[in-house]
Amino acid sequence: MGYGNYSHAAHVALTKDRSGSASTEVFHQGGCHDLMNPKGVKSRESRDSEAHPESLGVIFALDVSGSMGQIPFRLATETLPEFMKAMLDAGVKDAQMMFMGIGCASGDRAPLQVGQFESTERLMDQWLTWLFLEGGGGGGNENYELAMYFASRHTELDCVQKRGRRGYLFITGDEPPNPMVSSSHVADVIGDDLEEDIPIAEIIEELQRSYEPFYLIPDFERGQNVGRAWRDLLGDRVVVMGSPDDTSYVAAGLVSILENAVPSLQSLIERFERAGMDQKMCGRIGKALTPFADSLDRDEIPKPGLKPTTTPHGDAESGLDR
Amino acid sequence: MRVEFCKSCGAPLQARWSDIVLQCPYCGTQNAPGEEGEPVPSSIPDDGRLRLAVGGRTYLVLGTLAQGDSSIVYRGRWVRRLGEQVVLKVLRCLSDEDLFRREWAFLERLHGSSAPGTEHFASLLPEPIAMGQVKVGDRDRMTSVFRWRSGFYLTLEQVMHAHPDGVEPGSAVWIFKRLLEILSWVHQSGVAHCAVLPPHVLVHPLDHGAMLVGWTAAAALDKDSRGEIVVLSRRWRDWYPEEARSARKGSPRVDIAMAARCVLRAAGASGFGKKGRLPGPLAELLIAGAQGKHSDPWTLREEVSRVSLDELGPPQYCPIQMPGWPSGRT
Repeated sequence: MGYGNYSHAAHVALTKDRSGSASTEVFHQGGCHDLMNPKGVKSRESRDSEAHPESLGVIFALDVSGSMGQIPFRLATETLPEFMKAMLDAGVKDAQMMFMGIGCASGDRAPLQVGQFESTERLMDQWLTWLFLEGGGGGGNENYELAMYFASRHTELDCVQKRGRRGYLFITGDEPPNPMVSSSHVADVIGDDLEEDIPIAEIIEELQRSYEPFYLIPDFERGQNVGRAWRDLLGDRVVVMGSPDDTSYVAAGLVSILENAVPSLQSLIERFERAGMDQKMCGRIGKALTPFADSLDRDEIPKPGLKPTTTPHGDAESGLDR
Repeated sequence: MRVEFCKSCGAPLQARWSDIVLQCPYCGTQNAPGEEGEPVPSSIPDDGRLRLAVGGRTYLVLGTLAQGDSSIVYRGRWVRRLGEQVVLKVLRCLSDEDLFRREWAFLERLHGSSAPGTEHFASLLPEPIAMGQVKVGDRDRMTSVFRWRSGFYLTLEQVMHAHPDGVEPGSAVWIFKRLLEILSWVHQSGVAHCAVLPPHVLVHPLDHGAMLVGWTAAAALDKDSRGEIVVLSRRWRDWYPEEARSARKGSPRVDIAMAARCVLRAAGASGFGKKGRLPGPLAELLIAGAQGKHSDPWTLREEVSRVSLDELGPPQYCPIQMPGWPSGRT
């Protein structure tokens, strides 16, 4: 998949047409769309073509439970074209986008939904709006690890296979990670026969060979609840946003920083300002991206002048009086 | 150019796709950036740099940030491609191990606080990641690992050193307000810091930000607890109010007094009853705080806002000039 050309203007018009619509008017599915059911799917492919010689696979794996459904709605009604524009600005001309929907395998009807990698605005939009926003949340944590498993073992990217260049995987969510990829969930949902459960750290190790993974948490409160558990797996790739409305801009910022499309976080924010983004939103996005930008020395904050590492010896006298 | 990561130490590399081999400036490992995937090797090559294994992770120590009363503090990085920047605090004085545990327990309690604003204020305290015994130097030493916060590493002590005549009054105001905001939430969470001293106040000179570190002396404020201050820093003994020094009793009043003393001295005051560069009415407010006349940080913060509006005009961007830092946000 991934044929056809992307038109930003057409994409803006498509989303603008829906402004003011209710979520149920945009997302009609009453169950998993047949074409988004991952069961039995061998592979989703992001391939080069004449029109797209340097394809780059990008996955948005969206938690569609409860309030997290806001994110796909905002993408479909406003912000996805902005993400695509930021990709173009970052020099990524041949982005191919795939959407996944994530729910709970213990209780939801559609614990995993999987689209196709697409290059045109119409097809991207089609898969996005075919997502079934189940909204339940089932009987446990959402099964983000199933999306990781599918991306690791059921996608093929020319950017990786031909150019050794990783794609991007953005997972949105607000629940802690499950410790294992359950073999029974994989069998039920995807149809693979695994001998045993896979520890989540192992599937992430596998995943990061093909993707730059990021876990996006919609606000500080939920970041406080689940951020540490995810950082123990993904380190500085866990991004706590100020608002779910910022998702596509934050994701675009991460790509811009990692693709070296901007020299610093500050210049990225200036770019957003020039494009008319209000100051409050710029501030939120800057704050969300700061830890990751800092990890790459892109936050434009001077680093501390470290003294050489000296190790303590013996039992030093305490400077504290009891 | 694209950012890649060293396969050994996880450090960022500036790689062109035409590069065949790229040497990591951190650990010297030869990386092939165009290679498909870069599995992290199970053993890390020994380049002589200090690596500490705590809580199932291995951290590369990048250098020394500071030395505390009973600890040494390093900056480090979780050695892994999807790594994390951290601060490692290693015990120097072995008999103070209980204080490390105390700090850990209070930080966990505060991060789990149900007081309003936790999602914001918890980010202004060290975030605990792991704690454990690690062989460092010649001994097993208790080591705490905290998350690194971009831009928060300058202590108020360093600011005072860079500004011996005092920072701008506007800067003193925002430092004080930030401290009072944090303290208000800390006290609502049933905890007193009990060691608000210049080395424990970290300021972000460009963003008007402050963090409170050094929680080894923290005390509980609940009804059943005496709020006992278990240790005093010998070096900063004179900075504690009398009730803390003699009665060893922690309270919101003690925390406010110590915060006010820090800010008065940062504003150039030669003593806790002097005004430094602060205009009269504002200085009087801080001096009253330093004398233990305030016990509600939020009320005092509101008063500081009101008086500084009269004395200094509407709040303005007032970065602190520090060597090596830009003069402000553009």
